[in-house]
Amino acid sequence: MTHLSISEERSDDPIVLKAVGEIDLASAPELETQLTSGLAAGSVVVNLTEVTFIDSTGLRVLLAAHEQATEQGHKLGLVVATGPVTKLLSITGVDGHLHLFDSVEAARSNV
Amino acid sequence: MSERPVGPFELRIPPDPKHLSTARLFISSLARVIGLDDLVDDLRLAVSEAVSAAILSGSAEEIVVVGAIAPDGLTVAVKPLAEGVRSDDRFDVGSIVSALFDGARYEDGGIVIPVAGSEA
Repeated sequence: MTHLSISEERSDDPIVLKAVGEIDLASAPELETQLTSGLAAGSVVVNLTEVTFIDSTGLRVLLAAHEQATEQGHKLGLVVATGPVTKLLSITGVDGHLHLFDSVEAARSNV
Repeated sequence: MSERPVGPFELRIPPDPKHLSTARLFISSLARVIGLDDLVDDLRLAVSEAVSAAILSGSAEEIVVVGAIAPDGLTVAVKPLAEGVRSDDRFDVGSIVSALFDGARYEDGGIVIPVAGSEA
């Protein structure tokens, strides 16, 4: 059982995924699977504004996906709001290495 | 003023990722009971990092999370956890926990996290 649900909000280009719940060692593989398959097709936006928890296991998945996107000539846009996601990005110092946006619209027009 | 619980409180879980959410719930409930509401998010992250690292070390048969209530806050311990687990990685558990709580250290076969309440 995991406490994370991932749904596809838009299936055009870029695909928009929405993650709701907690991203940890138990649920990160599910996010990884969705990101890997999404990025194989094109750029992806992930709405993380309703993520209530994330730790470094989740962050590793986001960074790996970011690298995968770059290698494939695509982009990964992350939509974040103030909360657990921005806190972790800030204490680990990786916020500057990812494409962060404050709305899905901003992310869609920039990836 | 309501009476503070005494403790120490202890959670024992098998080294399985599916129990991480239980560990977070355990520590956040304890923190709320003693009025450390402002620190709940940081504690959940610190405990999740420590328990994840203990699980990934592959050497634990059982993981123990202990919350010992002190007059000015809480001391949390997660074990077994040795320094250097996942240290090949860019996100070392010790550095994340230290960034959240000053004075976090490896001790007695685990990581010890002193949590001081601001108004305690």
